[in-house]
Amino acid sequence: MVSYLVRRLFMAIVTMVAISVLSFAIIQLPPGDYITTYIAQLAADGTSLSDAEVLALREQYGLDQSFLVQYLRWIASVLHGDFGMSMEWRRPVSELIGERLWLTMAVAVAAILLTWALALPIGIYSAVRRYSVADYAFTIVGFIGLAVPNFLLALALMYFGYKFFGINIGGLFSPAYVDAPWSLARVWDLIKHLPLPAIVLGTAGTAEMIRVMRANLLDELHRPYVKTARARGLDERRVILKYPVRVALNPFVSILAYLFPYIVSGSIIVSLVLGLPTVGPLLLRALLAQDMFLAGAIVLLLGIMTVIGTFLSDMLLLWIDPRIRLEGRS
Amino acid sequence: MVEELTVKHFEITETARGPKQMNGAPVLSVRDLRTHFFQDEGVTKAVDGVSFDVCPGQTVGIVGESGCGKSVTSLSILRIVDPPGRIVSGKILLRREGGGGVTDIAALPANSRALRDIRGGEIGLVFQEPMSSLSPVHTIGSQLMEAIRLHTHLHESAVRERAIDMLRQVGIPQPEQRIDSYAAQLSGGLRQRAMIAIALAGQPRLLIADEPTTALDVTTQAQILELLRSIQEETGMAVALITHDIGVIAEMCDYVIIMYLGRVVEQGPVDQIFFSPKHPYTEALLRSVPNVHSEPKTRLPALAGSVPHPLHRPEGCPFHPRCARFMPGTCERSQPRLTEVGPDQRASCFLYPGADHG
Repeated sequence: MVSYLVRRLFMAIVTMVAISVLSFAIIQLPPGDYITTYIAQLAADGTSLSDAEVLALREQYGLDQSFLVQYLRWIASVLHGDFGMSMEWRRPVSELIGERLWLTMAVAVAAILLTWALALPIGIYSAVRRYSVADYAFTIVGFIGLAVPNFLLALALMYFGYKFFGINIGGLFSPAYVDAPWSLARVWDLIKHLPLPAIVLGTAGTAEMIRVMRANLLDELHRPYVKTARARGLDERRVILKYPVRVALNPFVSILAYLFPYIVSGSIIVSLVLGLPTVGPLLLRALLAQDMFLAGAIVLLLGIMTVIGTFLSDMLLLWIDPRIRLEGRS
Repeated sequence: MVEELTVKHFEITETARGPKQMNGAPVLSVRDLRTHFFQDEGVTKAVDGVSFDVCPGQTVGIVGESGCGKSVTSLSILRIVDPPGRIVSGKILLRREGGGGVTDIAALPANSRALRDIRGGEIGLVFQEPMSSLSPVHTIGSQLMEAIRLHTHLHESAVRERAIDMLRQVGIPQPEQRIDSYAAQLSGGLRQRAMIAIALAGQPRLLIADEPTTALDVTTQAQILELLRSIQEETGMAVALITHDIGVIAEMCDYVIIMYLGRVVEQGPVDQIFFSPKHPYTEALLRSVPNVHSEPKTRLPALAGSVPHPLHRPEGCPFHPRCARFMPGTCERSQPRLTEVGPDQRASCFLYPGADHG
């Protein structure tokens, strides 16, 4: 078991290093750099830079160095907690991301919790009562949820919210709390605003998880160990919940790991539509402006969160599935 | 589909255990049980009119090739046949202890308290494959203790002790440690012993063992059978042993029921079945098994043909296409009835008068 843990931890670290290289490389892939964008901006305003000025700027940001040197300089400062300056905003990256990162996580966690809370019972019901009217109904609703783009759902909800209830349901805070310092009242205001983005972001995942749970459980429902549980006189509900559901939960947990980045990356357009102060819109702008330190930091943090999520789901699996625990022992 | 009947040496001598003294009325009486499977391709009549009795202390063997309905019969008795299978008619009569009357298991509401009390409490069930019959993610102790809690009123603190005790009774060494093992950590023989402990946790009066030794190696098979026999001697419970191994029947059973395509073709005390089989199917079955008197290095007679697909059950006597004593004009016309062919012995074959009386 310890060797399993160590192996997973080692893999996690290797993956993080790979992610940091990749994220830096991807950001550098498009032709040109921030200075190119900056020159274009100035040209649009009618001014221009001399060659010497351009060179000085490139030197200042280290853009004249090779890829390797740029990467090493960047990663060294990241390891010291310094994500560099945003070229576009001319403010430290950590300051720009700070609160947005936590709000992103709050939205993602709310969406995952909603996904679980809906998908688990519905998936179990759909499997146990396969081909029932309710199973078909959930299947249809689920596939619609899977097919409708999130941002469209967001637009529709905003439209109906405004038309029928006269409320503007964007953002994560009421106007009074947008710039207020953190307080219990502000947290409560945030919690009140979370359900809508959670519903919008969670529908597709929920639909998918219902299918996964249903398929997993159908595989297990007719196994002999279920029959023997029934044969010793256990109540039908307990038979289902204690045995086949427990075994079917396994892939359900491992899927959790990639649900997180899926929700975060899927949230960019939704965040723009709903006006959510998450990292999504910030990332989009940074990429458009080739603001590489800002974009790099966001991509890196998302990658690292995915790795941590995977590691956590591995731990969870270790806890719920003795077969994995036994593997290491023998 | 063609599964050879296990070839195993056996010998029945005149000194073999005769039918035991049966004390009293049968604990279980199955009457005209029909369990059919309703699929898109048609209706499979897995069990189609099966009747038999099991008396206290008796070991009844149910024999037949794969697909003859012996396993579905055992699942039906506990009402745990999965859809699309369904008991369509018949009675499963359980006689309660101490003049408590008779309960028709087939008529109890699904998942009712009464039915759940019978499962494990009156009738225990042991399956063929102990690995897949135990949960892969629960310890054997947790499953055993669950059964103990369901059928006894022991205080929680005594449950674990009882469980360890039961594991010891079924011959599991170091039960204090093994109780926290998962099925994957035990050998096949130990797993089956654990299964037996779980089936016995509610002190049932009837144990149905559905091919309990098929998945085990020969040495372990003998040990498990010996265990079943010693438990039976101790507790006096009845055992219904489902198998396709004629040798196991000879070794274990008092009474034998031969099934073919969902129907009982012959039943009788073990000695009579072995020494004077009446149904051509029984005769053919017994001839296909070598015994110590067989001429060495000769071909064993094999049963001609194979079991027909259950969806295409032959008209009339279902065995007639493979029967050595087929009588054209009779056997393919109507189904023979079980009829008295000897003391306590019945066969369903037109060779015997009475089989054609509706």
